[in-house]
Amino acid sequence: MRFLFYVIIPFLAGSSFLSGQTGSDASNVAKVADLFKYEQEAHKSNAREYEKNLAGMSSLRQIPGDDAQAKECLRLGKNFRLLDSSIQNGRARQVELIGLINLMGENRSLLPQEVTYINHYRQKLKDIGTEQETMQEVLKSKLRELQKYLASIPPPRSFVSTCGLKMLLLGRSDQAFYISEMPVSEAVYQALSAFRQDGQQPCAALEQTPPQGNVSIDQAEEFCQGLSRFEGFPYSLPERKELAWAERQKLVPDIAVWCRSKWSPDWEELEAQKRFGISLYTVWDPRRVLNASQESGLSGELKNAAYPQLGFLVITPVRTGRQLRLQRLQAELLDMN
Amino acid sequence: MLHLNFRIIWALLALVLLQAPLTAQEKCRGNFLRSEIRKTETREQYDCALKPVNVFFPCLQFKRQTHFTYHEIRIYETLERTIVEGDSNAPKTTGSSQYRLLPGEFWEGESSIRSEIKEGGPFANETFLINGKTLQTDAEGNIIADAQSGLEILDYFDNLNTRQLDLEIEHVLLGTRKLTIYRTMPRRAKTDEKTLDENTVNDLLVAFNLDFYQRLTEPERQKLKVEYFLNTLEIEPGKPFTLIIKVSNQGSRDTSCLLGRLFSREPSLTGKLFYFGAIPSGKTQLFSRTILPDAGLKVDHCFAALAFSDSWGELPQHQLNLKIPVKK
Repeated sequence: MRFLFYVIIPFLAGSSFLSGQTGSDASNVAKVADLFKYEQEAHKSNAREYEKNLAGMSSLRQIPGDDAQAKECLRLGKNFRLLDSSIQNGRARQVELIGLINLMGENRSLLPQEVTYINHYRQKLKDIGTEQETMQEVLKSKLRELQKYLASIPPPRSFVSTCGLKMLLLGRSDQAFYISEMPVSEAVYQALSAFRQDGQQPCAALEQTPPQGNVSIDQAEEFCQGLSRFEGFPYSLPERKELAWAERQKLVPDIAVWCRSKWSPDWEELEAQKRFGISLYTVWDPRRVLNASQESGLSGELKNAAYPQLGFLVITPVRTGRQLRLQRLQAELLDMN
Repeated sequence: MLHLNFRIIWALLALVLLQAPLTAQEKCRGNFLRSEIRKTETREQYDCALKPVNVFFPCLQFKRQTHFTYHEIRIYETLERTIVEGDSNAPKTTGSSQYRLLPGEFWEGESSIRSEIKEGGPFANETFLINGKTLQTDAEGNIIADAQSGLEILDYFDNLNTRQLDLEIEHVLLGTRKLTIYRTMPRRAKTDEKTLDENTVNDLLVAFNLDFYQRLTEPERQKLKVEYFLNTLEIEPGKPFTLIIKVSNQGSRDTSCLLGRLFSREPSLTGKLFYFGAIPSGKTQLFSRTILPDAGLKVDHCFAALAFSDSWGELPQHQLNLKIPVKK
């Protein structure tokens, strides 16, 4: 039908229609009538779709499960965008049709009833245009609501990164973050090192290996940079507050792990570090694998230190989990379509 | 009866007249002659001080002493003073007197007490209790405050804010005394007024023959060569080892208050200070510390960094990163 419309308009615009031949006038009016009906039907279809999606949005909260709600948000968002695009296209067509009707109205050879018809069509098209404008405003507002709702859905409790790191959600609200369940394993470390050096993609399924030890903090930081490039999301070493959360949640590694925070146990030690121009970094050793008689699980270590029993965890912000969930759900929606 | 009264009167008069020469002449003190010791008290005691050494352990030197207390009295000449009378032509003033030396007579004046200490040589092979540690002096009366002594003097001064350490020293017979050891760094240039900074007695760094006077000219700070040596290939948990640092000044000016400090995760290593002070141009200075690794050490290597600072601040370019093997 749309094809027919785009054929007729140029034909009418450039044809003997403008010369006012009586026989053509009747058929042109008939064709305009057909076009009008098409627009009417298209508008009704859009309106039905509009109402259906608005109803879907109002029942969003009743959907059980965060993933299901997020998927429904994505689906509704897609529908709203498609609908908006459809309305936009319809309005463009209607403007052209109104233009055509105006041209026809200048033809004095039209019969009075033909003039009445085309005036009716013009008015109705204007009414449809007004309704469409309202619908588009509402759609924009609903899209914003959907975005906010999507942001309010709690992030997933865990996810597995592309290279196989299982990340767990810790913390609350603004301070939430993901931390690797275990210290980075030898397999993941070696795979990412190969990726960093020569772009070799890691295998899909990396074998389970012990944690990577004998890494200095600089090497751990380099790994995080490589991991961030590979995953497309920011990864870094945890700070003390993040390790404190891990300890509270009983997420205690079997080896000692690096921490990005500098070591400053008291003001005297901090003054000494400043005076001599040196910094120590925090190591968390909850199981005392480095020194059995150490009182505290935290100690300061030099950046070049490396022990077999010293590895590292990685963290990533909450939005990583959210984004990965959205990507997965969008892929599922595409598969469904 | 009247004759008797007259006799009594004449007797009384004679008595009065006889006394008249006693008020006209009297004795008084003349020139000082000497002091005489009337009594001497002695007491055995000991002295303790930091001894200058060429090794990097503080050395306490003990000496026997005898304390003498002399009770003295000042002896003067005795003079006879006569009030001048008679000759009306002679000028008279109030209190005019004549003095005559009385030979063989002496006047005792004020008493005083004088003390004197006489050195009695090294206090060898004697036992002392120093801050609760029982230690014995050697044949030369010295106690070396090394790792075995338990005195931990160097460890005490590893706190940069500490300026002095009081040692409570007890001898079973000779009693208790206190020795204060100072660690003054930097030292300022001498002024007219005596200050703590100028007191070099019992100063740890002075005893090590180290010069911590602050220099006014910035040294060539990049022209130092730093080396380290261990007295063992591998350290053992619970067994002490010695770390020797050697700094060579390859610049053309003295270094100023050069100081090194160890930083490490290991509590036994971290915080240890190495003193160098002013190293003249072209010269080398060594400093060593004996360190006792923790008995619970489980790692294959201990990591430590020796960082330096001087009067002009930190010297990160000379930081020494140590990786010390640990014996399993």
